Amino acid sequence: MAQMNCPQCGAPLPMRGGGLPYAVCAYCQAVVMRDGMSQVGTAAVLPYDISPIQLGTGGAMDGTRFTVVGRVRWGWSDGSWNEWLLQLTDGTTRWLGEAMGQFQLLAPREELAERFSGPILLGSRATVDGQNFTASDIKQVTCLGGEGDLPFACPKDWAVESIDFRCDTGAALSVQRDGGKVDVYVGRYVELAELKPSRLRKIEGWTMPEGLA
Amino acid sequence: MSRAVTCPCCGGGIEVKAAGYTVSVACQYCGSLLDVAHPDVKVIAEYHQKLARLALPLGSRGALFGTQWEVIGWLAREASGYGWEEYLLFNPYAGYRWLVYSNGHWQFGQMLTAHPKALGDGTYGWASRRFGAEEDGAATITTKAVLGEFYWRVRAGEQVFAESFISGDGQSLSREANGEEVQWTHLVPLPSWRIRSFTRRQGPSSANPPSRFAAWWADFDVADTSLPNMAGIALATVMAANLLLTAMGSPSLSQRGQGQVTVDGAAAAIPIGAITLARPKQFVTIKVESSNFVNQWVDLDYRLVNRQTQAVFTAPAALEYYTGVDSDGTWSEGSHSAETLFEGVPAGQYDVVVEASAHSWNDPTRAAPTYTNPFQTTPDTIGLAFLVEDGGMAWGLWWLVVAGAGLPVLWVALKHWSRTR
Repeated sequence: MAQMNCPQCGAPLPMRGGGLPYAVCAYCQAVVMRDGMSQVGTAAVLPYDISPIQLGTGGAMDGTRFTVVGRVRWGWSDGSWNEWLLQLTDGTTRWLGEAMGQFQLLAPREELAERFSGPILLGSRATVDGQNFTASDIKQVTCLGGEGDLPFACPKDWAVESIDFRCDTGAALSVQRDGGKVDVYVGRYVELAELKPSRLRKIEGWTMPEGLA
Repeated sequence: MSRAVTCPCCGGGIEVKAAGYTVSVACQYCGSLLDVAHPDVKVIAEYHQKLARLALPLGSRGALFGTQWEVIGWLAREASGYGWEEYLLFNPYAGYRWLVYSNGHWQFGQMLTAHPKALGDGTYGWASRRFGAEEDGAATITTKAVLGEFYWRVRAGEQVFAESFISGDGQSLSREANGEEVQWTHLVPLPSWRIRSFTRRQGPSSANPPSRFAAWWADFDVADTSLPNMAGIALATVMAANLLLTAMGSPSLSQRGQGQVTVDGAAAAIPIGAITLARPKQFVTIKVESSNFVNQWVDLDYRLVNRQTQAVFTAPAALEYYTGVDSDGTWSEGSHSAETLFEGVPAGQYDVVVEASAHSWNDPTRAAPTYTNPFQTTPDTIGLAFLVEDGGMAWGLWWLVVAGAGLPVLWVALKHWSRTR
């Protein structure tokens, strides 16, 4: 693991992922751009939550191993959720969305950005990969903080529009729009156990189920 | 570790168990509804309601389907004047589940991430089952009261439109819509003994005052009672009862039968044959043994039909066997055999008929491919072998005699022993 130090506080800034441009210092929350090792902002301190995932959690999806290298936490008026960044051994990344105890495995799909740049209303339909999706949830969300290695700087109070699409097959589609920039993510709901996770977080007072330990 | 907040209404300290997921908390001390989605706790509604006494206390834990769950929330709901309760369960590694308690029956519910498939004729398909609309299954549900913590902004008085669909084997699907979102939940019936682990006393509680029994026991004096005399009388009683019950119960004829039942299929009627009972009144025993199965159960209804009078004697039986994994390792419960006793059956010629139905537990906490154990094959049909005998040892009665005769002796003996220490 490549080791560098935070330009703000000098604490070690381990490089968990391969070539992700930003890292959040675990000690002073400085957001550091790897290229030039300069501080570009400050992330908010993550509020305590009881997620079973942590930086360093390993697992496998579709036969490829992954490691959790980063996290962004998003909040809106009625709650909050985690997006965990998975670094796959084949060099690609995925996001593991975690909300209400349910998990979504999502892959970034840049080629779809154009299709989702127009107006989207509740109930709007879209067909992606042969699956029929319906826009079920549109909300303004704010970045509550981040940790680890990330593909973007996650400044405090970064507000974006988040649109969730539902599908009756368990497939998932999520669109995030920040001004003119559109990010589209496509994937599916997963059970934690099917990711064969390792190094899950130990939560005091709870026994890790045998299938997950 | 968990997040701690202070109730702005009563100052009570509240532990938020599902920190990060929980949005609403109903204070366990004063009932006020709090918004904990953000660091500053806000009051949504002050209730100061008289707190309900819950069948499953908030904070109690129990194991279901191999996973330990903590009860973190409770809803009282009502539709068309009919009320029931719903308990929200949480495990940080497995997420949320529901326990629905209605009219003395429990159901275990899991929210679905994929919607069931509409089959066109008003029925829905899910997990290779067909669910048809339940009669009077569409209703507006009102939440009447809440306690504990929830992952959405809950409030008393909130309404959803709900429809329920049932499959032939008692499982059901519930569809709830609140105008913005549609949520499907899959529910399986749960025998009430599976809930017992939640209500068992949990952890040491040394602060409890001594019970009334303990006080009475301390005052009880047996210095003058003759222990050997009591033991002798008790032994004679027990031996006489054994001889009498054995004489009444020794079998003089038997009838065998067998059949099979399809799991989650139609109920099977299995005719076993006829037996002729000679004594004016007798016991009839039906023993059943099944082929091997796991995480399934068989409901049996025995019927003895008198050919002359058409009088019918019925008795139920069940075979159930479950295994799973929890914090203590692998567990299994149940048995593949059962014995059922009919008492006081009059003389006559009887046809013995069994109606059997088999059901599977679709363990929702297990993703199928991950956990499949190649050594545990679960057959689609369960074979059943029956043995019908007249007579039968009335073991229940026998143990009653043993207890009745033996307890006083044990009692006095214990008292002697505790006095001599």
